[in-house]
Order: sequence, then structure tokens, then C-alpha cells
Amino acid sequence: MQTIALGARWLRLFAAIALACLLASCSGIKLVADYDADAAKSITDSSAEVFAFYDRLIEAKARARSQKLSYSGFNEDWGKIETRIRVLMVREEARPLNSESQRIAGTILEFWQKYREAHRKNDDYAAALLPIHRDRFQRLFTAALLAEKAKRLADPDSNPKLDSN
Amino acid sequence: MSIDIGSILDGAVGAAANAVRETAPQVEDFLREIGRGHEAAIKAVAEAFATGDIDEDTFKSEMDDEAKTLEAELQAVAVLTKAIAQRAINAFQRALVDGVKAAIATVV
Repeated sequence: MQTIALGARWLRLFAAIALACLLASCSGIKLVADYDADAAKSITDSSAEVFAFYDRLIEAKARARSQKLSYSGFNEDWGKIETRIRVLMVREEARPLNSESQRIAGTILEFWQKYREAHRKNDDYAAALLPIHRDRFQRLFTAALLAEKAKRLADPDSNPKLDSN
Repeated sequence: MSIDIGSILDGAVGAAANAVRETAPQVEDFLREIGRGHEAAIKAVAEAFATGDIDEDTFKSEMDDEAKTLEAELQAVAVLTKAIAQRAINAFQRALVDGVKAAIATVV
């Protein structure tokens, strides 16, 4: 009888150790991509270029309000920044568990191409639309950066505040 | 040997709840920010249309872009909620593993 009790005790102990080993071997649940500091920097750098570009457009339009804002004067900048946004898109697409950031980057690229094509077609950019489009890009880049910073929160050891460095 | 699994689970649930409590309010903050940005944008587009600065086709196109912008912003909220869930699940799992390990260490 004592042998059976001893055997049951060892069985429970073995089961507990096996459970501990099983739990310890779990690498954790993963729902989002790892935080990428380079991606966050790429988002802020791209946004800085977009804002500076819109600032130039707004200034140029304010100087010659009655005149058209010719596309040719801004063609190079449109192209250079589009390349940068495409690189951002490629970077996001290459990361697994990253569909949301891919969609945000895709929306930024879609709008950039749309507004560029409208500027090219009209050879002008309506003064009323310039600040609306600048602010829209600002909201999209904010969303992209927040999505990136949010990934850092997934680590239980990280600072729980989004705005922490 | 006796392992108080109820107590270990309580600790793990507490760890998960704490992980959510300290991070979740940021979702509400961001949603408010999205709402304010969306409202300001709609007003700006409507004013431009009302004053004749943009035509009807442009107005419709801008409203479409606004909807897409809002959708993109909500993608960021989705990442935030997923990250909070991951934080909570992993805090739960870690507390569970630590609790079981500690309990075993006391009886072995």
C-alpha cells in the first residue's frame, strides 16, 4: 500500500516537471511583427521629406496664387519621394505578421501617386487642397509610426507607454 | 507534493490583467485623436467645396480619400490591440510557468 502511494507521488511529481518543461518550451504567442527601429526611422524620415515638399508647394502657390503651379518645377521631388515611399512599402511587405503596416504604407503610396498624377494632368495644384493633402499624409505617417511603436508593446518587459523612446 | 494550481492561475490572470490595464488606455487616446483629425479634414474639404475652391468630382474624390485614411488609421489601432493582447498572453504564460516552476522547486 505504501509502495502504491509512493509511486503515485512520484508520478505526480513527474507530471508536474513535465508540465513545467512543456510550458517553458513554449516560445510565446506572436500576433504582430517585432518592433523595427530602422522601419520607424524610415517612416519619420519619409514623413519629413513629404512635409518639406508640401511646404515648398504651399509657399510657391502663395507667392503666385493666380498663376498655375507648374508640374515641371516639382517633377524631380515627386519622383524622389515616391521612390522613398516605395522603399518603405517594400520594407513593410518583407516582414511577416505585418499586414496592417503594409496597408498603411500602401495607402500612403496610393495617395502619393494619385496627387502626383493630378498635378501632372492639371499642371496645377489647387491651393485649397495643398494643406488638406499635407495634413492627410501627416495622419497617415502618424498611423504608420504608431503601428510600428505599438509592436514594442507586445514585449511584456517593454515600457507600456507608446511615446517612450 | 501539492501544487496550488488555483493560486498559480490567479497570479497568471493578474499578470495578464495588469499588462492590459497599463497599455489599453492608449487605444482610447488614439481613437480620440483619429476622430478629431477626421472631423477637421471633413470640415476643410466641405469648406473648400462650399467656397467653390474645388468642384463636385474633386469633393467626392476627397471624401473617398478621407474614408481610406480613416481605414488606414484604424489599421494602426488593430496593431495596437494585437500588441496589447500579445503582451497580456505572454505575461500570463510567463507567470504560469514561473508559478509552476516555483511550486515544483519547493517540493523537489
